[in-house]
Amino acid sequence: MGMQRQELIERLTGLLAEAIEEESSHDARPASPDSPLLGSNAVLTSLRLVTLITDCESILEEEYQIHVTLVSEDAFSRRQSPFRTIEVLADYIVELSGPPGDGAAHSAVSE
Amino acid sequence: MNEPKPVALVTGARKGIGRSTVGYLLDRGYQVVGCSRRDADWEADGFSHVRADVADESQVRTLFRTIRQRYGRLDVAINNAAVTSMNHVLLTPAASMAKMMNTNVVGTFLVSREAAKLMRRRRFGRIVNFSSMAVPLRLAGQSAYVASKASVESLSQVMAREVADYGITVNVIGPSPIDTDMTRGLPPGKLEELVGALSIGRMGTFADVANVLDFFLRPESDAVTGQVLYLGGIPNV
Repeated sequence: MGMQRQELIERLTGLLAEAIEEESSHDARPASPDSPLLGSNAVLTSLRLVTLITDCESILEEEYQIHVTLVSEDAFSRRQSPFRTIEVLADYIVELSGPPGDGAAHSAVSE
Repeated sequence: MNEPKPVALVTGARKGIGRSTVGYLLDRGYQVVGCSRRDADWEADGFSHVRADVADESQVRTLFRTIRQRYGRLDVAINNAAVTSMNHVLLTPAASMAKMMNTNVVGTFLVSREAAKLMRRRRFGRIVNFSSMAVPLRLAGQSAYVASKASVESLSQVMAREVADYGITVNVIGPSPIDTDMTRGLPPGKLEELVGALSIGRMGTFADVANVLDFFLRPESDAVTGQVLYLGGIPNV
């Protein structure tokens, strides 16, 4: 099954909203595609971010048959982290899944 | 409707302690997935075998994809797969060290990581890793093996902290020598020397291991994590 970038952003933003809600902080900020996921302004704790990334991998695999490893040496060595926001993460997933027929992890996300 | 049977994974399941562990888990009502680098030449009800090298990340991910698709859950992971060889440190090839670190440490890491991802969904999991009494004995002639197993212990203790919030425990068992291909490969006299160094001066049995597994795996042991339990009366040094 294929997946559009915008659909991916919406799905991941939903995941983020669930994660924020589970933290149940009384001053929780709303989830949006550009909510900061890293740094002092992050909307999640670092453990919740770990969970979010792991959930994201599971959803990609189970719902869209996209087999990608989001956490890799490449991800950590980038000048700017691909885990900064949901929008950036979605772009990273699009990049990892590659254009149709290029032999990448799985060709299922289109822009 | 009956609760589905719990699911367990055993690495290095083809023979030795791994095979005995599969039988132990089947007897306790688990559905068991085993993996080894080579196909298993035996079958059992409730047991399925996947050929996989635990040191290979893509093969481990494929293994877990199979478990996820087939069962949708994992309750127990037993990291038993290991390799060893005896050599004086001055005569230990780098390739031997790399092989032991890859299978024993990287393999345990990969399987534990993927297991925890699957276990955390149900907020329950039991990971048991295998070390060796060779670690506390600082066994001469096994520098590479001991280094790898000491790494397994440290990895397990740190991981225990990191996955505690997911309801997952990670513990380590260090058996005394048990009659397996691994101990049969020791030079003459070495096994007697090892057993002689134990407080309990006899060879270990799988029943000794099963007793510890019972303790680590039961639901009531949810506050037991990051522990290394040696058999045979080895002093913790």
